[in-house]
Amino acid sequence: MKKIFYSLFVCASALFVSSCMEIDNFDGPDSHFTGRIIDSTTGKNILADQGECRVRIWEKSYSLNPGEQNIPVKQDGTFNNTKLFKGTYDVVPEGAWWPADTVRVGIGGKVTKDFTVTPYLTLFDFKAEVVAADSIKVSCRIDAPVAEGLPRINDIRPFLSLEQFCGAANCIGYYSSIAAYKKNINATWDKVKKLDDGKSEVYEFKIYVKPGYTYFVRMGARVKDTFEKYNYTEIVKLEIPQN
Amino acid sequence: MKTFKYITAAIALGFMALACQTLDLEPKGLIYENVLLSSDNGVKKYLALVYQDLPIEDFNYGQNGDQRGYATVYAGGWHGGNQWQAQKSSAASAAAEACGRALSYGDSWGYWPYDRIRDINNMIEQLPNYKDNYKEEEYNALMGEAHFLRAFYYFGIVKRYGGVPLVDKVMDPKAPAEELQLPRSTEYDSWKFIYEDLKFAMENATASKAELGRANRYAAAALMSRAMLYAGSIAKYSQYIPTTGNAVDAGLMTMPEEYAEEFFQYSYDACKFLKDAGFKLLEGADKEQNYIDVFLKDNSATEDIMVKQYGPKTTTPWNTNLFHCWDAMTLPIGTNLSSSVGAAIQPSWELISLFELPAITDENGNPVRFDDPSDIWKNGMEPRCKANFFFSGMTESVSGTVIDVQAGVYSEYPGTAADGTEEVGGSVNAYTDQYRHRMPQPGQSKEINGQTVKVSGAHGLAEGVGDEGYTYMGTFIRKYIDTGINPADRQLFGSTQSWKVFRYGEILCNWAEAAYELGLIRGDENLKKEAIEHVNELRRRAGATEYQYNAAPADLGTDVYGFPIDENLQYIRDERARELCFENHRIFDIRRWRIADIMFQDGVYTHALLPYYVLSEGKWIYLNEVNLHGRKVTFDKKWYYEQMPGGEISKNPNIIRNDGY
Repeated sequence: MKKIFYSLFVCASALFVSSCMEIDNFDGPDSHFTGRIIDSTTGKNILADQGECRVRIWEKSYSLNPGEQNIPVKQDGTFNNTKLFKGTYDVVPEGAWWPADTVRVGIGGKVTKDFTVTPYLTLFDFKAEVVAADSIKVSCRIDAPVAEGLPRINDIRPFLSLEQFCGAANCIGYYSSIAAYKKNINATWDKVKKLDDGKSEVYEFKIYVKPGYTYFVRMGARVKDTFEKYNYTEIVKLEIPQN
Repeated sequence: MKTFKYITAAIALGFMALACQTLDLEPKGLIYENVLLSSDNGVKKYLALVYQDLPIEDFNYGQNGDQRGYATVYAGGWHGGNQWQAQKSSAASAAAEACGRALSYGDSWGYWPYDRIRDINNMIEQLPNYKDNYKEEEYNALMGEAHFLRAFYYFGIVKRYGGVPLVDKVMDPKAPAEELQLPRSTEYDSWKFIYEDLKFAMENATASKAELGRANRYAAAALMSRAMLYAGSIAKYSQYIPTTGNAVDAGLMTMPEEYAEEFFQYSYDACKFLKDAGFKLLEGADKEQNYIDVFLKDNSATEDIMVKQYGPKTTTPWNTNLFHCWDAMTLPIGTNLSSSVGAAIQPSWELISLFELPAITDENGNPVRFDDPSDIWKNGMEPRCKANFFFSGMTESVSGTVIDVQAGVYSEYPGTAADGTEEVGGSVNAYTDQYRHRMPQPGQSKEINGQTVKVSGAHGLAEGVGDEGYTYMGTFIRKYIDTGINPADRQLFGSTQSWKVFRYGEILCNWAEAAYELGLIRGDENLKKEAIEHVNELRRRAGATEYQYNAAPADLGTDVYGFPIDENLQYIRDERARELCFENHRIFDIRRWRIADIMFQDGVYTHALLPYYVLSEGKWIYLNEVNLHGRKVTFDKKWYYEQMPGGEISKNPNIIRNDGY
């Protein structure tokens, strides 16, 4: 009796094992897609925040109606993904810039593709300085490289961070919750207050900080488009002296 | 060895059984269409599940979390039973009417009730075969009812996704895939489809109000007034949301502004239809009690157009009844009050401040001093406001308990209201650290400046009891709290009061808004004035001051939202917020007005209405602190349209995804 059970058991186990014999013959994702987002007004990489803007890709060789994948744009304005399946992709950079065209890219091996985009807003004359033992002052002005058809401008804000990554996604949350550290512009470009050179007035914030800390500071402004991401100034490092 | 023989015999017998050809027998325990569709009682049985799953945002409707969705259809699975957690994921807290755990609109739970739509389509197709069993008007009434139900399901889908595949017949599962994989229709066509179904239902469904809880032509008219108002405002305001992409280009989400007038007119006409049918507001001499009766009594002769009923909790078989937990989840913990959880959502100052009530700060920004916390509601408060909220000092009628809220004690209060209400979670700053005293448990006293004084009220605020059970917002919800309940039933699954699916109060709100929007589109002053008259009808019943039509209204919208909303229209919208609070309209209203993303931009705190005793003066003050738990309500612009469920796209690649994600 026992023998029968044992032999049945062995046969069943053999069946289980045999069902696993097929070898997955599909290559792992090993293609590499990388590139830069170039600001057409400066010719340099766009000033971005870590992971806010993105390069969106759709693998068209796989399905007629594929779901999207996102490659985040890094703070230095580059993007990089080394684990993509080889195939044909539709690619579009999405973020704080005028909508870019979707392009079709064959990805296999290492593919580099740079996108040149025009930001909605450029922030210039950025100044950040320590004005007292416990406060700093930041200011900047904004300009619109393309004024016609520019979506309504939402707001301008300073961003403070205690590490090198600084922006809306990487800032000290405390400052976001305080109305005084955000200027709601909420107007179209023609209604924005301007100086004689046709660019915006100076937006200035005085911000309380803790003595003895090192802050990374920048400012950002955004418009009411699909994504509502910020255009940024460069990042300035401020050391607040210990008193 | 014997066992082995038996096994062999059993297997052999098994083979013999396979040889039988007559296994294809009709089971005896099932009832088929030929029985179900040949009598009114049979149809009721047939439609039971269709009614149970209707997308009614009732006591059991929740936003984010595992239990998001409706009582019986939700993300966690199908027919999971009654949801005691519903208030923890309340739509009211996601719309900042209250503070609770759900802080955002609960998108992407994949609502896709085409199974019920198939049931209805099957009835519409098969019922003609049984026409002989009915009198002409009975047959028409059933067809009308089926069209109303189908429209209700499509309303639930279209308001979430925009244009959807419009299935108006029973599809054959064996048909080629291309025939089954219907693409999405445009958003305009989808709303028009709902219109056509409701028009049919208004003309054909029964005019009898005899069966409580069952749809008649008035329910169809009420849904028409609501759904077409949604469609009209989406047509008018979706242009201000700058989302672009394939779905927008194809008209699957957003509609051109030119269609707004058409939809507002449909809504207007449906409201008028209901007034002509004799519906009116429930009126009574005691305005406060009357307003409570609106929600607790059977008002089918006056205000009720359709109600959803519940029954007592059943244990065997488990969960076969529909019940809810409104009383236990909204009242505070206490003897004969809630015996479990309690106060899961608590009214916000954002809502309360819309009502007429005495000022709590003077012109210099100092808190007004009261002799007693109850002074705030005893003098100068709108009766409707008293009927909606429990303020400190009010008596809860079933338990006889006096609601006792005290947030703490200020040893003295030399500053302005702003000093004690800084915009940080719980409003903690150097000023409050210096003067404010609070206790960890309810009903505790403390020695301050040599005097022993009560610091925390019996029903809150207590810092050490978490976010439920006791108030941290200063008030409790009174609307819909059952005054005829046995106190022992104030536990989970103990509540059975009906939900007013449609009531004439809502119709007047719809009518006012539709009339005013039409007046704006056509430049017709009479329509605008008529709108204000509908608002004032509600306000007279509420015991509030009537609103005076402003012929030259200021534009309140452009500076805030970037598009015009005039003063009168804003007032009509605020009246809607007052009249329909906690009825789960608000989240969908701010969504269809396309203002939610700006209202809640970057997350906004909800505020409390907290009574404090000022020790040095022996007086009471009220402060609008940021809620104790620092909760912020958010709304992402993309949530104006939910994303199409991924599982449906994998089945049907013709479904185009919504943009903005």
